[in-house]
Amino acid sequence: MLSRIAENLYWMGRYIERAENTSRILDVNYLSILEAPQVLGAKGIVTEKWAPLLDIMESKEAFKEHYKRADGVNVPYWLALHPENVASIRSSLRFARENARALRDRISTEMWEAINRSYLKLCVSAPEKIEEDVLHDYCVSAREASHLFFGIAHATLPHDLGWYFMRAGQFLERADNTLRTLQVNIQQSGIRGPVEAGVEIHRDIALLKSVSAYEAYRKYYDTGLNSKLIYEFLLLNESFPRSVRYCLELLSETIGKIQLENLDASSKALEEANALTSVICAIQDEAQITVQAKPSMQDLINQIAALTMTLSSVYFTLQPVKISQTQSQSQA
Amino acid sequence: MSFAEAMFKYDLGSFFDEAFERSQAPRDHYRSVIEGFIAYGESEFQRRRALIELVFRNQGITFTVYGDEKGTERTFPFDPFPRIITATEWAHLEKGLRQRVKAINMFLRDIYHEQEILKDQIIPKDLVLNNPSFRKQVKGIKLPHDIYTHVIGCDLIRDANGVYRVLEDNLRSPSGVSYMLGNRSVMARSFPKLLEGLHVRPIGHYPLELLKTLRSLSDKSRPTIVVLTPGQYNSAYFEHSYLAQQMGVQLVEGRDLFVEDGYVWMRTTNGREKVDVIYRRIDDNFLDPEAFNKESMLGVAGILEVYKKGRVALANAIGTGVADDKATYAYIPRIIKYYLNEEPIIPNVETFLGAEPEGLAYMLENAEKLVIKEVGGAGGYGMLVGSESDEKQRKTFLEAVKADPDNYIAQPIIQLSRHPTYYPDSKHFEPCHIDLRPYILMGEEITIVPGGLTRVALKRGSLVVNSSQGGGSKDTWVLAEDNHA
Repeated sequence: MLSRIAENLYWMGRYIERAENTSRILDVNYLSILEAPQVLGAKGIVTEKWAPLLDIMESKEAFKEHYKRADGVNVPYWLALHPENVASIRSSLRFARENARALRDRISTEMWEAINRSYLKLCVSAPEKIEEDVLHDYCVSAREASHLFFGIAHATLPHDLGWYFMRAGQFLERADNTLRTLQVNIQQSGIRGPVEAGVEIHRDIALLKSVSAYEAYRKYYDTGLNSKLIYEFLLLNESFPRSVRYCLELLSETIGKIQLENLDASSKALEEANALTSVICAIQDEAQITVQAKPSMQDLINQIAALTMTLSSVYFTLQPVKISQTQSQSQA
Repeated sequence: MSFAEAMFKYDLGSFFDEAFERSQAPRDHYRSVIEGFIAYGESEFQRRRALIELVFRNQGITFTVYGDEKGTERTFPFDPFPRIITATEWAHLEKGLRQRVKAINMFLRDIYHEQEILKDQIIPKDLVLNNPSFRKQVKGIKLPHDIYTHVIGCDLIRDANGVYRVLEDNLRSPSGVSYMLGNRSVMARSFPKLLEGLHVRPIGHYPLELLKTLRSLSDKSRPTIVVLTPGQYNSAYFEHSYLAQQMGVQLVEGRDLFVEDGYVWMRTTNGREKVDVIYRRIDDNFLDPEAFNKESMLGVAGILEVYKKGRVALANAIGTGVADDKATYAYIPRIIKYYLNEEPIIPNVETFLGAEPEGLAYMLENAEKLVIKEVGGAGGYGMLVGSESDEKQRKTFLEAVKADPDNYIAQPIIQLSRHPTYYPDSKHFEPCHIDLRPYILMGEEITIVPGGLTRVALKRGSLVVNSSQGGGSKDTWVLAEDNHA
């Protein structure tokens, strides 16, 4: 497979997954804030609720260049729609579609038409501002666009090398997202003082929902909500498709398939993925990560970032060349 | 006014009309389609027409407009009233096109080898050897089957008397064939009854014929063939990816290819893979930064040397542009005569050369009656349509002509034939000027898929059909036999 094509497939998977993750987090946050209890003495529910989202998305610096206050209008707009935010849902879908466009001869026509329709609806005709139902509707549409796309891909794209590169991108992005969401939540609960139980539960529900884990968690544990069990579920569960362990195991398997078809390429990426997966599979108690920090959340995030670099150097050896419009000469 | 009246209320003017012989009198071969539209009725016609736009947009069958800040992709406007060509007309066109492309290839072979035509002074030496598109780097190279132009798009027009003429030969990398194919499939889907029983000749096998042509350029039994595109920001990117997909070959960019050990290779996730035939949609200038434009990031460094050794085939060959330049065009009838000893079956449009003193004088005195074109211009740019310009515009343009007369040619303003075309704003069928670009494939043999791309000048009264200047297109139907009405 052409290196450039493999890279396009990988990024297409990542960007669509990113659009879905961002839309989930935003939507949950928006709905949970509507009925959030007031906390006396807190520095303001609005800032407390919206600012952490910028940390999850690693978007704080860029946000500050455009806005003064992280409030319920600016943050959702920035994360959902702002054209200058490269991580906004809108930008993610636009990038996904750019990659798909470069793959038009490679992916199925149905996949292309699905992403192109979503692009026309959510990027070209995106809402101008966030009003009452707009954010929720937009987030639901973005999530459904992702489901539709990956569903069509599952049913129409041959499950060969190309599929595996797309899946590698998708699950790397997902593992990274679950880790970051959890990391920011743990930091938040650390800096907060003791609050009424109702508030804590409210936050726990929101955390689970933001990675679509609420119902699965309830079915898995027959006890109530409990931070320790939530961390365990999101980090170590073997079968929940958004847990860090599940994503990493699937990633190892995927990179294994890739390597099988590219026996002349270096096996470094597979080795790194396997090492990371065996670390997380060996952990019995989530406290080893959240309390003892062996490894810490940040270590895991860093190792995923390192794996991304290795994947790129092993399989996508090309440095992307930026083609300017003038170089793109016209034809008769 | 009824829908039927709207179809017929139609001012023919002094032009040749493809569909109507006289006012209210359709030509025989158009009768069934006109009756078909009337049978659909207005609201059903409207509904089906609206669906077409949606299909094109959702499929992303778009082109990029240069100089548009937003980098907008637009759909190519499509008119549902098909252009119909009789079997007799097509037989004549096919014969004429075969004659023309055969002579053009003999000319190209000659000027890159013995140059007999220059020694016999049929065409000025300067015009060929000092032409910026003449590539001295490929002199003396032996090509498979002695063919240079594997894919040709020949622009044909019809004058006021209904005579088909060649307006331009596109011998480098003509585009538009994907619209020809897309137009047919959208017509078949949205107005199936019109096609039914009419015996329109199919065109869907074009990608297979193209693949066969490209295969014939290698002596391997299973050569590795690729389509080379400048990338997804090129205006014809959709077409590049479409053709690669339909042929089942890899679509590559310059950065996917490299030269090593005397061959061209693709970069893959598993190392390098050899490439035998390249259908390139990149101009000569951008093809090899070592040999041509040093700034090019679109091409493959060192590919010229591999090509010269016959270890990779390029379609089209390097250096074909010298034969489709607007000045060389004027000599094509003489070229046909010289190599084939035949009269051209499809005539040229009368052409005055700025390089010849009498031509220049005529140009300067009769500008309002002429179309004056820059020799190297394309896409409807760098030209003056005398009748559509004012005194001041003509004066400015003629100053440029006087400063560099060799760079201009002129042709009488040909009143291109007209064709009924639907206008959503007036809800009428109005006459528009059209042309026709058939595609000719040359490998071991010559193949012409019946039909071509019919382009329409949608701006009312305009003679410019180019998509970059408000042109649209129609499906083109070549009838298998003429004996039905």
